[in-house]
Amino acid sequence: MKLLRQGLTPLLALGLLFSAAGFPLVVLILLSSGTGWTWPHLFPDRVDFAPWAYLLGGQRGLTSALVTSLAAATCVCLISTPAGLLLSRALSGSRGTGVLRFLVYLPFVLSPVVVGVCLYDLFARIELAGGFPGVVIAQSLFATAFAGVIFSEFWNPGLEAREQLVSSLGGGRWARWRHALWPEARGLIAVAALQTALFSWLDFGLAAFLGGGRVPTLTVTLFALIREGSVNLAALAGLLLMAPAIAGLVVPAVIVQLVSRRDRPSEAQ
Amino acid sequence: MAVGLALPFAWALGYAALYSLGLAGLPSARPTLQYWSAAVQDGALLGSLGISLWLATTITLTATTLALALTLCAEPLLRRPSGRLLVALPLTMPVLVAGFVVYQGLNPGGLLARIGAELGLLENPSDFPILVNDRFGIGIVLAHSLSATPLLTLFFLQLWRARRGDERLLLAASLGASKWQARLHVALPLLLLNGRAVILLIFILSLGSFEIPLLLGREDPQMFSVLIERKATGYDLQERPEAFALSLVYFFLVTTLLMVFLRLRKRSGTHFLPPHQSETAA
Repeated sequence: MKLLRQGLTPLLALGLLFSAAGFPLVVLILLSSGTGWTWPHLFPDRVDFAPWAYLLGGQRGLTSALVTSLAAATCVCLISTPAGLLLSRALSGSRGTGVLRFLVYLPFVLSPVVVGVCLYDLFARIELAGGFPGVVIAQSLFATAFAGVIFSEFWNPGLEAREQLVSSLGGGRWARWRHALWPEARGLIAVAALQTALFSWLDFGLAAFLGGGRVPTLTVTLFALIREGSVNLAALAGLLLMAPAIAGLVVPAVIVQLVSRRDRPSEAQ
Repeated sequence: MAVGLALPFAWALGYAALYSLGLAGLPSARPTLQYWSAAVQDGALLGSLGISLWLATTITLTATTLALALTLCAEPLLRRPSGRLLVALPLTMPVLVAGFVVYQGLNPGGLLARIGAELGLLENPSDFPILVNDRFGIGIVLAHSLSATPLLTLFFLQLWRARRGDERLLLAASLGASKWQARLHVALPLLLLNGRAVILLIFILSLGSFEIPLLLGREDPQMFSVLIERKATGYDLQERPEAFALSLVYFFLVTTLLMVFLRLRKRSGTHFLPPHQSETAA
């Protein structure tokens, strides 16, 4: 009723958003619930949850793809987050910031697959093409730039003053990081860690091109399943790909909602 | 350190230039412009440039229009935590999954066609209009808009709060403007002028799109990334230098647009935060 009183336009806007958020999930859940999908049936031919059984049974390469993607995302996150923080610091303290900023933003906007095509021969020459380390290194290059962009607005004169204060009280480099920077940076570090891990988790171009088909990440497996027409398994792989991002978005929102609901009665008292 | 990060990209650029001129790689013998002229003469360069610019422009316009409409029409609803969560939810969908979902939803044998058949609106898949792998890239635009629209909406909502959109609307109303006049003449220019850097960023990112046009595009003409990958991995090694020539054109286009983006960003003073960060900042 409250919504209706606000008029038709907000309702239409909400409808559009519900469709954008709901339609893909409906398609993926529907298709992953069974086997086959012949015309003109709305539901799979047999609703037997076979794709989920394949996943739990470690068949059709889905489990190994999941493990490969998890390993790559963890490595890229561990390399790129600290590298991005150091990169942004170097950027803030140097002259010619315009050029350096351009260099940091460049990987952020370039198509990974085009860069992958141009880097392939180099990676092949140093025996990094077609292997897990090569894919992780290439993904880390992009993810570091991404983290650098995230941290780029972090460094400011206030932070510098706080560092100087710690130094003047006798603190060394470690104390400066621990007492002046860490309390301010930890929120952004968490964001950058999540973003860099997600970059690797969702990357297809670099994993497919530089991996040469020998690094079966979840995205590479999903593409292979789409190409071979296994729509049910592809839908499940799609759901698995979306899971971390949905969890990263929905779980904190639900926790905040629960905490605020719990705090409300105590505030009233 | 920034220079260190840029080194592989500089190498990629230099190697692409040398390869396209016949000075590096397998077919290297002598400097030649034959691969560049082949790329121009067989229409690959112009065709790819045309379709890439057309699709990036359409995606950007569609996403910007929808995001502006959502922000201007439903800002009070979307400012709530549940509203922001609803806007951000489509962002959890990777582009590859977006391409798959749009294909399974909109192809002539897809979910929408089946619903149409269930309702008695069509009998055969061929009765359904072609919305994927089509001439105008409808499927590509739709799949990209699924993620670009929420991203821009979150940015506009953040901008609205930062630039005190509500207070500006109240001021306009107190000066006699109607609800829609205030939105069109005050809020719309506010969002467009301050958001142009991020709108340009959406354009640049769409230009390099790979997964979605690979699944939902046509064989010819193809967007930059898809054509470059096809020419680089094809059986005909003579096509490889063409892939590098196309890469150079793409690099030139993106670096030019990036310089414009950084200039606009500096002028408008807005900082683009990634979606999760936007949520934290909000």
